[in-house]
Amino acid sequence: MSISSMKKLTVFAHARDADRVVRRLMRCRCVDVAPRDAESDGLAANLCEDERIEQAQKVARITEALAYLHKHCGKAPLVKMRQTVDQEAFCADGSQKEAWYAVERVEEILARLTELRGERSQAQTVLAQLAPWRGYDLPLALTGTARTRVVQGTFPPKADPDYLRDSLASDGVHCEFLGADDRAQYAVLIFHRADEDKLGLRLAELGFLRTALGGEGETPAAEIDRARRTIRWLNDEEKVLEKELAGLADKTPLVEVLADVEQTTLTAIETRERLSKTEQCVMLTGWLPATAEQKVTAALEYFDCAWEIEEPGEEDDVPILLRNNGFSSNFEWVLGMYSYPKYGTFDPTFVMSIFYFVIFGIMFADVGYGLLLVLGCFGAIKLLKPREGMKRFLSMFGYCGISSIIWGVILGSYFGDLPKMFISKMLGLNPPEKVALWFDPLEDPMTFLVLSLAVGAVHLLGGMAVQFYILCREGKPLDALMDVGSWWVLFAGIALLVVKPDIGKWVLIAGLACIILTQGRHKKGIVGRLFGGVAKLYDLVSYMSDLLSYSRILALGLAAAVIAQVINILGTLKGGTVVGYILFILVFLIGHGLNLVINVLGTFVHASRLQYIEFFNKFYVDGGRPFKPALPAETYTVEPETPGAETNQHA
Amino acid sequence: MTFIDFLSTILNGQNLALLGAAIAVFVAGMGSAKGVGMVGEAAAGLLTEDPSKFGKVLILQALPGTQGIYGLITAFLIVFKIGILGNPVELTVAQGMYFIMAALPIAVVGYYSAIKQARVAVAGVNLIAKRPDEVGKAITSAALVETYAIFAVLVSLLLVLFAQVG
Repeated sequence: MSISSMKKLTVFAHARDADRVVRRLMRCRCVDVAPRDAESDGLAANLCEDERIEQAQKVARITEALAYLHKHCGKAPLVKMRQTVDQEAFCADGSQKEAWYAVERVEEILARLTELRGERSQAQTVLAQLAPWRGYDLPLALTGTARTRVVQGTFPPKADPDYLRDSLASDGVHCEFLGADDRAQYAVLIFHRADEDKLGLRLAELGFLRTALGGEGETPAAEIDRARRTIRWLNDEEKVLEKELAGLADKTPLVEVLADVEQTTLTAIETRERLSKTEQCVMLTGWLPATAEQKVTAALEYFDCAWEIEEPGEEDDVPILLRNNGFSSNFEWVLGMYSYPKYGTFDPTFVMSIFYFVIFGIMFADVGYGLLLVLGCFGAIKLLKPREGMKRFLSMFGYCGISSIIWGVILGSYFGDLPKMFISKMLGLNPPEKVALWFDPLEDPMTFLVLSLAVGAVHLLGGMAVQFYILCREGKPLDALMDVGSWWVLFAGIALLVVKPDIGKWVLIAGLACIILTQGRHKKGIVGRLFGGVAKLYDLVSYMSDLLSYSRILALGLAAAVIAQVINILGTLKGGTVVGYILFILVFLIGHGLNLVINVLGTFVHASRLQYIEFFNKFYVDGGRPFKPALPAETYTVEPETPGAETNQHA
Repeated sequence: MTFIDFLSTILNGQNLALLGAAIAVFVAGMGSAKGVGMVGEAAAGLLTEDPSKFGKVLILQALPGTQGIYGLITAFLIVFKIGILGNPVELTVAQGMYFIMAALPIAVVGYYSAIKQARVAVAGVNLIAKRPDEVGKAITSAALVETYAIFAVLVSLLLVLFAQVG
């Protein structure tokens, strides 16, 4: 229910201890290490760029190997639980080496596989190139004898081989055709070396193109055999490697832990770079919650270092850590999406969480959908051990689901009008007249509108009450009375005007007078003050528009209800037959699933908006920097018996 | 059959009410389709750089889609009211016109607010590209535009719910 009071930590340690001190503090999970302020301390930055780059490369390598393992080795489970691992023990007991070995092996295999695929495609090229030359029984390296030339080449596919053979024979060329396909006819020519120059033109006329076959000197048949053997070997090797890679899938959990361990080291290095240094020492400045003082002191006592823990000064940019009860803390991230409060101001999370709970419930009043939210969110938390931020995100929607159930009972909505439709259409019985405990929004929208605006009025008055409280706490009870109290008199007057006009009239006038007389008090001169007061009356318009904004509760509530109704009509079209039940189940699952998603999104956005715009503008001082302690990486692992992390949790 | 006869068979109360339902769906739907498309294009641009931001921009992309849903709801309420799915109610031409009037707020405001909201959401996508932590502000800004679509659908819904027919 409040913003934690923070203390400023300054540590001087030996440079050689820097890494261990930082890691120790990270394990405490409660120190936000402030970036070095170059202007104020005049010390050098504790840069370790080479180390950081090297570590970042390690992390990148692991990420790559892990991505491969996740993608290609075995089926990934649909939902993944984090392993409970002590990262320090992991480094100490040799598992780290084993995991690194696995990563290196994956890298080697991947590299060899790439190489091997290159070699294979080379062999396949040779194969394709030599296929038409299979019948040629001279070594490829043979270019002729002392007197003759042997030349391989192609003629156009359409040329007549007999004509070519005869025509070339008359030029003193022996021509042998080896085969043809739709691209060319393959031929070998043998002629006198002396004729080579003059034959060039003649051969070109006939469309002859020389083919450079290269080769190692064997006959094409032998070369083809060799290429085939190579491909076979490579295929075998590929299979073996892939099998080994698949076998490495067993090591995936180990590599996942390694990924976290090395990421933790990277974070430690990055945190260390925020320090300042002298020749022998480093200086760390940071923030910790006052309640964690003892924990940090105990951690620092391990080292030969000096430290100081002091109250924050006026100038300091103190990070904000919110502290709320088990229910409200789940709504802190909604506040975080807007902005954190400034240090030393009021934390509205508790008040907001109650209003959020109620407003979400009315906007999305349905027992069925609420139940799904509760089961889905709390079930996921039970089964998946999500990280703290995700846990709070899910818890919030789980609690909102409870509110939906409560309001669903009051307004009689169970997957819309499902009970009524199911009883009348599928079972053919008479449905009960009234399901709702109070009223049905679709039958009686005006009552719903009044309810929405009433909730809005309470919300707005709540916001003003918070303002009243804040002003009193700041020691300005008179301001509180004048700025908030006078409006309340006015509102009371408006309300009474409806109920008891003769009293209401005077209360209203009293309220108006209070506002006109007090709201211009910061101005100079009587006229200025009166004018300021009258101008302030214009705020009445903004109160009105704030109030009307709550009619969105009605609109969103009706939207969910009407869509649910449509789904129920479609689902029960075929009545209580076998086909009817199949249709019903299909439409039910798809339709209500979709409606749930759409409306949770809409309700979440608008319930938040009512807090941000209508509620917060009455009192909120924003602009706080969230408290972000340096933490060990925990993407895949969770520390055994995590000591409650002192941190704001964002989803 | 003269042209006047032809017109009077077509322009009966029932058909006019259906026209109202149709206008609510297609005009608001066009706005939403255009809006969601605009945000989708901007989002795709961001996702080529950083696919991990999909969840964040998806919410922004969904926001201008609600106007189409409001149009759909209005249309369904009209259809329920005139009993097309069960026992059709006899409507006079004036009553039919009433439903067209009732559909107009969400049709017109839905169309414009979806597009304007989409423009805020596109700006929001750019905001997320540079500062992913500020997604809350991007969503809130876009949601502010929605207020007017909500007011419009509220008026449409109340008009339809309070229609005196049958």
